Amino acid sequence: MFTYIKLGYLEFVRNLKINLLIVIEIAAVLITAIFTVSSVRSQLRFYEPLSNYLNSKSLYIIPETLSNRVSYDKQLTSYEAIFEKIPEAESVCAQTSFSFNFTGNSMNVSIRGMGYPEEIVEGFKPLLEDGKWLSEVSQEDGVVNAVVTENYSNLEVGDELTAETESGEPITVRIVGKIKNSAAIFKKPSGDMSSYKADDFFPNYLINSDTQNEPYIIVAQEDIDRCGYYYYIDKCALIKLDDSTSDERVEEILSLAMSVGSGMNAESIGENTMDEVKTNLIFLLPIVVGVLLFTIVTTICMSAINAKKQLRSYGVYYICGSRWKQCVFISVFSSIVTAAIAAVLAALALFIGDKSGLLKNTVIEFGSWQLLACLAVVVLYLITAIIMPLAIIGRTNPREILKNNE
Amino acid sequence: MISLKNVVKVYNPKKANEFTALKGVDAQIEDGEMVAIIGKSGAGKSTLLHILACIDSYEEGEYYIDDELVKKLSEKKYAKIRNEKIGIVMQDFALVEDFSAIENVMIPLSFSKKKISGKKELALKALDSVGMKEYAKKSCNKLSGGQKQRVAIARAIVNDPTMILADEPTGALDTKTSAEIMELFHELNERGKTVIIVTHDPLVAEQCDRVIEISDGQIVAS
Repeated sequence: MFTYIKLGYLEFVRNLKINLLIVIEIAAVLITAIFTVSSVRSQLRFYEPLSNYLNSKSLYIIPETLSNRVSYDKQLTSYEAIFEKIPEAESVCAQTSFSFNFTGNSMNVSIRGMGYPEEIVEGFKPLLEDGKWLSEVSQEDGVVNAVVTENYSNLEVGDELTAETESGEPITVRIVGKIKNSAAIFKKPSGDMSSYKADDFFPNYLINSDTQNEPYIIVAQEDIDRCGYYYYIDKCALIKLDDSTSDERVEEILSLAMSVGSGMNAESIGENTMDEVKTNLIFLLPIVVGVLLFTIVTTICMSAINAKKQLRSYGVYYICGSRWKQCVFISVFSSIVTAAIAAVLAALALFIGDKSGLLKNTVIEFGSWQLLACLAVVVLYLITAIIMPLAIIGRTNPREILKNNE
Repeated sequence: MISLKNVVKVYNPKKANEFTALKGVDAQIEDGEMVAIIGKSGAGKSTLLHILACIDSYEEGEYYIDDELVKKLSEKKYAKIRNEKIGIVMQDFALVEDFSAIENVMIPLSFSKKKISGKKELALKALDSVGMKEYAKKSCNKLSGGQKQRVAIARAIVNDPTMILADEPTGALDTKTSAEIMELFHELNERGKTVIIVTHDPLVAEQCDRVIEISDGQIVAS
């Protein structure tokens, strides 16, 4: 088999000019695949952490905290209050606000605390300027891991602040990550509620003196509970109801929510999101299909031309002791070399694009889904690349090849 | 020893264009013989050579190489015989033109199932034996016809086969170069190799120990 690999490489080199064109073509298709998947993923990126709520019986509520409007006992501004007043609630996903009890030198630090539920900590990772996200760091006793936005307190990754829990126990607040300024964070959406989509819950958050946007220090909700701090749901809560909840009861709960703030059925958010995803897919699909079809056709044609050109060489290998049909492996390995170089070229192009800042404000990224898409492209290319050599070699007799060349 | 007993070769059997190229060929070639197979165009010379070279199969009869029956074997077995026991030289040289001389000579070594160390040295030795060592790294498409045929002969002998089969080896060469190539075949024969040359050139045939004449798919003189 090593002989066929070596001959496959030599065949690639012998047809270098044509093969380089195919390399460029495949690299372009790989980049297209990465762009397409990144585009789709960027929309699903915000949908996935909330999918449990957006495609089931759920509500989105904006609970008021102003006590002059809503008495405290009726408020839905804590997880406990929601579960108590809405027995049908199975789970709640809410952005909360709180304050650390900083001590010692850290008392000078002025920054608002924001709590993220488990679904967001585990399912969403904001773009970081430095450090790691909360889900990427392990828990330690006496330590609260936190991620900061751009801030005026000069808090950076690695900084440790001293604080104490509500019961007076000392804790260390360790800054493990810093979010890129204007990156998307999980926060209450703004605008017309009827047109909310999943990405509205992840606005790009820009901190500067011109905006009203203040810096945040973000921790997991469970750490807020561990410290015993007072917190409130900051106008953003998704509530998943038991599937058996009747429509009438859903309306009752919605009325309750609207009596202490405002609310809506979360299903429409999911529908709006998927409508946008489908619209974008419909736009992208013809481009993707066109590129793939072009690649398949050119691959079949080029591999047929190459196989025909190589038949004489295969005849030589045959008289030297090769098996005739195994000569197809030479074509296969030549195609593998082509695919490998194309992958390297595509990776290089993306690397240069990333480092030069060209991809800075785009949704282009490379993760497991993009890798799968690239693998699918490579497999499709390899399959189409061996169809014609298989057919040509299968239909040809080496004796005829040797005879025709005399 | 090579032995053919009543070998029949039919092209396109049971079809409208069925054609019997060999009609019961009997022949025996001893080890170390230098034999010419002559005949007019279409007599069946190349068909016989292809069967001897295990490039083609046959329908009836028996073909033995060193008492081993070569009939309806697996493709793997045929490939092994072509690689280890037979060296083939063709009229059009059958070289990979973009490869260098040494790369062409190393092809049979690459396909050998035996563990061979020093493949490059073996290839250089084979090239040296045909006077082409200094052209080892030269691309074959830059060699003359005579040089190419020498490289082809070097490739044919690199695995030290017992039998060399040559199909019109001097057909594309001028008289002087033809003589040089025939001299090489004589040298190989003197080293103990069985040499079988298919030719329509009587001058080539008369340089061999024995002439087998084939006509209309049958041996008419041996």
